[in-house]
Amino acid sequence: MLGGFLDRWLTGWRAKALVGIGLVVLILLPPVLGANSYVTQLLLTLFVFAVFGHAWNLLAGYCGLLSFGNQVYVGIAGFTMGILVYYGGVHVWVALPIAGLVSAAFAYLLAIPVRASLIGPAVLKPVAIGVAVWIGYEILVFYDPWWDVFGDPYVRRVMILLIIFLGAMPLLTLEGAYFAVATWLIAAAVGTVFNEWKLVGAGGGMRIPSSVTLEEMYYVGLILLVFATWIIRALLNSRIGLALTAVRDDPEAAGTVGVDVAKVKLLAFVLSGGLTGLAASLYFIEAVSLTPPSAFTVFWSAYFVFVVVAGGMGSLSGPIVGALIFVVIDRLLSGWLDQPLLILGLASVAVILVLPRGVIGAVDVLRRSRDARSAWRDLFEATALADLIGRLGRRRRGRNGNTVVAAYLVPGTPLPLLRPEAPGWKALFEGCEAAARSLEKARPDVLLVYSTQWVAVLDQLWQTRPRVRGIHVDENWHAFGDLAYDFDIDAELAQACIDQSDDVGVRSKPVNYDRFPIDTGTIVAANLLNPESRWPLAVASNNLYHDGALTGRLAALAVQCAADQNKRVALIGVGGLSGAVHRREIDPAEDSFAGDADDHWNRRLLDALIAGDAAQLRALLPDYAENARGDMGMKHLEWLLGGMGAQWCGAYVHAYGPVWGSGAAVVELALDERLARRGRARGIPVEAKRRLTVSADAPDVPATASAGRAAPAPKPAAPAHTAVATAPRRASVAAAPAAAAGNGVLYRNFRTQAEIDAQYDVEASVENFGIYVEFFLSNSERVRRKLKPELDIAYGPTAAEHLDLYPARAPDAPLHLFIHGGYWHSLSSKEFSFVAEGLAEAGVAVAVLNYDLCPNVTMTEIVRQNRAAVKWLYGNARRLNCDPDRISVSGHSAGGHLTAMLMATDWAGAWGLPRDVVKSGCAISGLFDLAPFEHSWLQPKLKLDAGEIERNSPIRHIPAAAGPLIVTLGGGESAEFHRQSQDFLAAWTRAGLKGAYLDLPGLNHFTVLEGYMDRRSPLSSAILRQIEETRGG
Amino acid sequence: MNEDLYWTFIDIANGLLSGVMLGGYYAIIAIGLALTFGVMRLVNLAHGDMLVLAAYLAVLVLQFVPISPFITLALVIPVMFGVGYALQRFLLNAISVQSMERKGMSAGFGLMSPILVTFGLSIVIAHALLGGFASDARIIRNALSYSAVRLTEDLNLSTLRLIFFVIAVAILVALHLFLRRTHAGRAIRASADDAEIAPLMGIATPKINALASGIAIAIAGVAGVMVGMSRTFQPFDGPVFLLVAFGVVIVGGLGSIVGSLVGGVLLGITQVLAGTYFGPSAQLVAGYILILFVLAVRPQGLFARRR
Repeated sequence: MLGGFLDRWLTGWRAKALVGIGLVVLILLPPVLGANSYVTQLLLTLFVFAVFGHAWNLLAGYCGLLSFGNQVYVGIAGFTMGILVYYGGVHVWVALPIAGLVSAAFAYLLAIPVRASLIGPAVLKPVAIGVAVWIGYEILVFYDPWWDVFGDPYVRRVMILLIIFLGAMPLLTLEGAYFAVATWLIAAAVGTVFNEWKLVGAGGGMRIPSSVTLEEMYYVGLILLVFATWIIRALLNSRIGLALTAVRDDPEAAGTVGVDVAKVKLLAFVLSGGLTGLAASLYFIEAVSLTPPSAFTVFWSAYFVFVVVAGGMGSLSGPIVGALIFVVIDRLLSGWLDQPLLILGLASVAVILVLPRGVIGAVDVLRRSRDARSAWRDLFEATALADLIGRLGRRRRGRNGNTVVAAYLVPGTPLPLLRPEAPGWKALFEGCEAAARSLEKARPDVLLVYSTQWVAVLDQLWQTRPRVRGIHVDENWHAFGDLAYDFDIDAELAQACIDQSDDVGVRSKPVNYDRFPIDTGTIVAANLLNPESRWPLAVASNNLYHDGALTGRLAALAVQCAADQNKRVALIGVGGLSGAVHRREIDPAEDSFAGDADDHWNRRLLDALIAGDAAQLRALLPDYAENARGDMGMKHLEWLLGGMGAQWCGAYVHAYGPVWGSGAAVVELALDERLARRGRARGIPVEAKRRLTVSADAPDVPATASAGRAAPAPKPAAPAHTAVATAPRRASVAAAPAAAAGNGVLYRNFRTQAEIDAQYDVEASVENFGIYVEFFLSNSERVRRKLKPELDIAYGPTAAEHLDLYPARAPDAPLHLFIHGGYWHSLSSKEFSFVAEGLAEAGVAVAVLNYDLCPNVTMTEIVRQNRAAVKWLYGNARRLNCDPDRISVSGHSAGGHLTAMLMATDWAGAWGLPRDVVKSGCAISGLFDLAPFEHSWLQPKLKLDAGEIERNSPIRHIPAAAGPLIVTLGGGESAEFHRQSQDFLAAWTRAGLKGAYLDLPGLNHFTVLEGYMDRRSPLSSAILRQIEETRGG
Repeated sequence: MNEDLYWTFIDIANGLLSGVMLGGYYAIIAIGLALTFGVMRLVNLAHGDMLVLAAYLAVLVLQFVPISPFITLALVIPVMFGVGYALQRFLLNAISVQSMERKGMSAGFGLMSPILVTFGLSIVIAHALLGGFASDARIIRNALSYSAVRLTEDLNLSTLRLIFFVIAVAILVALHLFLRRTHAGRAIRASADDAEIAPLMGIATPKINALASGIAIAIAGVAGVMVGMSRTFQPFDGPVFLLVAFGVVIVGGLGSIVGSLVGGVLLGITQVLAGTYFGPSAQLVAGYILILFVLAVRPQGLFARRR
């Protein structure tokens, strides 16, 4: 509302003087405020949104083109940056103008043809050229797939078709609401395709890593804003500008007096796209990561509208004023209330309603008030209001209430600091840098550091020497170099902690002498997070006799002392995750976890941190400390948890990986829901080159106890779906399991392998196994032809991790996952396509899973793949047109076992998914205790050992809570199969879980599956009823 | 018959059938928006959130009384009518395009204020729902979700969608009759035709606009309950339905009531066929392209008359 007034007031010398003074102040501000001040941060945001506003204002304010789709440039520029920086290694400041140009080029594509209609002859030629280029490209890709940047034919064709269509569409001939909706749809369509595009991380998005400082970004932002303002001003003052205004005020009249309306609109449209792209690039350099849904969301347009309308549409200074209001509301008030968007929503209503007669009215009032005094008063009121809101926001963010402003878990090993270039450790080093940047934003007064490596025995020690410096040589890693350090100590706070520690029953002592051996962890943390020694540290020792709870109480005490001194603290817990290290020389590039299960346990811990559930984390910690040999019993984590208290609500994992075999992670603990949400969205970052625990090339990597007993690993099976025909009919255990139970009993009442095999060998249990295989194959082919599934959608990094999706016709369908059998060593998704028929007919989308097989991978890995598939389905259900909140599972034989494993999974804890992500399950002819197979003909393939059996037998992992389960099998199956199902169902219901037995008389192990082909069969009806009964609401 | 040919035939027949049914559902989502724009020339960005609000209202009712979801409409319709009426009467009338134009603002400028206000409203509604119901996905349980009407061995229709389609047609016919045959309906049409002249002819435009808005939001309420019966929903799902409604209204013609059904059916068929032949993720893109195509060749919509 100020914009219109300012435009008139700011004329001649006053304008020049004010702009000059303002620029000088803005240029000098960062050095005065210090490189990384919060004000600099806010001003950067202001610059970016002012440029966004300028770009939108150019269309709406000057051309009368109301765009709801400028976010398309935000996304395109963002991903251009991502591709250039991430794949091309281009410096961000080089990539930024390129991204701007690409956005402008895209805008040009949308804007042409300026006059013709879609089916006019003028369009046919370029479309023909486009189609010819496309066909040429298809041929190129056909001969050399390297050229296919789109990753799959579907994305490639849709993307190119969309581009040709958008090129041919005469967007600028549309007016008013039509134009608005068209731009919105274009952004939505482009965003949908980007969501599928693997090069840009598909739905997961990508990162724009850079090492630029806030100061650099600030100046680039300032230059961008000056440039945008200047170019628009120059444009307005030119002949074209006069034409623009004429077009806005009366397009028809402007046309008749010789203004080329179409050309003028084209120019403004392309400029608007370019400016939006430039501002978006800068935005994403600061934000670092982006995803298609967030980059192409229509909320951007809401921001643009807000900035421009609040500031004053159609005026040059309007967007700048609007951006100021936006920053005040969105950034400053966001700390004041949890819901920044809610404030923006209310403000949008208020801008129009509460201000006298709305924006338009305010502009009117100002326009009429020639009287400078009344205008001054209006101006003053507005700024006073903004100022008041600003001050309120700052005070609430400040000292009352929350003393802890940030908390970080960082590794204490010096290796990432000393060898930041080593591929394995680079991510950790960069993670620390990212944490350091976020620390700057948190603006602490002091860092409260606890390092597991400063070991004390007699008392609790606190560093009180005001400044410590020197050169430290680590006793283990001296070969990698020395560690210089120089930092300040907050002795006042440390003394307070010493004085107060009697309260928690601890005797504390100060440490204050020169050359005191500062521990490596503290030095590493100080150097990585606080390289310029901007904040003093308060450092506490790790007394070996203190347990985790006491450590937490000490942290709470230190926080209380800081609160008493009116200081804002950042908590730093220095230490690793899993403790096992390699005992040999390793190449840093080949670093891996030393313990077999370390990665698994570390991930469970990180998932629990991300989930932010204190009770769940507490339950996990003892197990974790024991199984992963967590560094010092994870007392550094206890320090953080104790210090944060109830404020803790999640975590953002900056980096995670092995360092010389031990686990290390840079984790920012979330103190507000915003960061926690971001953390959940990010999950545990995976390096591109992460080695899988089990890889197909090296089947022997996870050395299992059975290795000595089992036969040499057979060669990995031929491509899985031919396995039926080629797999040897039967293998016998190479060496009898001599180490079995003492009384000669192998399993339950079975004494010989033959007895076990007789009960479990399903192929031998039917007269002509080949008939069933034939039946499965032919029906599968028929159903694939009928239902037209999307085949082999990857859900994980290895070749076998894919699934076939049989879509339902209507959107938002429930999603059913089917897991095939084959005793974990044979068959694939392709023999079981037929299971989709009945459910799909009933409107349920069916995913038929493929997974890697034994002995390529271990049983544990198969289970992990199955779980990863559920996670993937949950994350991708919406774009598959399914409902992520209605996922159910069924499986047959080995798949019944895996179904039960999925039902028993702790989704909330270990996987960061809703606890009840799997709403219900149906285990058909399932195997719930793996113990017998160690002694069966399957053992050479399965290579089971006690650990594998314990981990992966569902009967030993009955969960505390789970959805309903149907247990069923053919009436004609063997006694052992019946016994397994009955035992499991009994254990399941004994635990208070819902379970039911479905009787399917007269069927054998194979014919039991035929029910899947008819939705009215007892099997399909039972599954459908279950899906229906477990809907939410 | 050749087997491949048979399946092609079945695919297309199934696509057309489910597309038509889906179209009825889409039409109900869109009618409110078409009416609001046609009469008030107001782009209501909170339209989708009104749907979601109604769905939550039904959930709330069902928590206390276990009745058929269809019966909740008895409460949802009047409540949503009140919401729509009050919204227009006390908020949007003050900033409508007409009142802006009377102040000498251009139409483009006048579109802006309601957009900003309804955008703000959309956020406020979503956050209020978040506060009241948390972010868990909800669904309105009903017995019909998986039942289907089987036509032949390989051709079938979802019962729920069939019911929605019938309701959509019934609402359209009722609305059509209301606008043609009643005094209030004619007043709404007069107001839509010329907001300047209508008041001069003795039509109380503010009240008439509020009535139209009440009807529009009441229909959005019906749509909300249907949405809730056929998929899960969350507080922030509003924009999804808004975009669907926009698409339908564009294809059928802004402000055209009958066009909503045709637009919905076209959109439904396009999506279902694209889904059948190019995979489920093609559904959305195909829908967008259809709408953009209509915008490019006939922006006033396929079935709207030029005013």
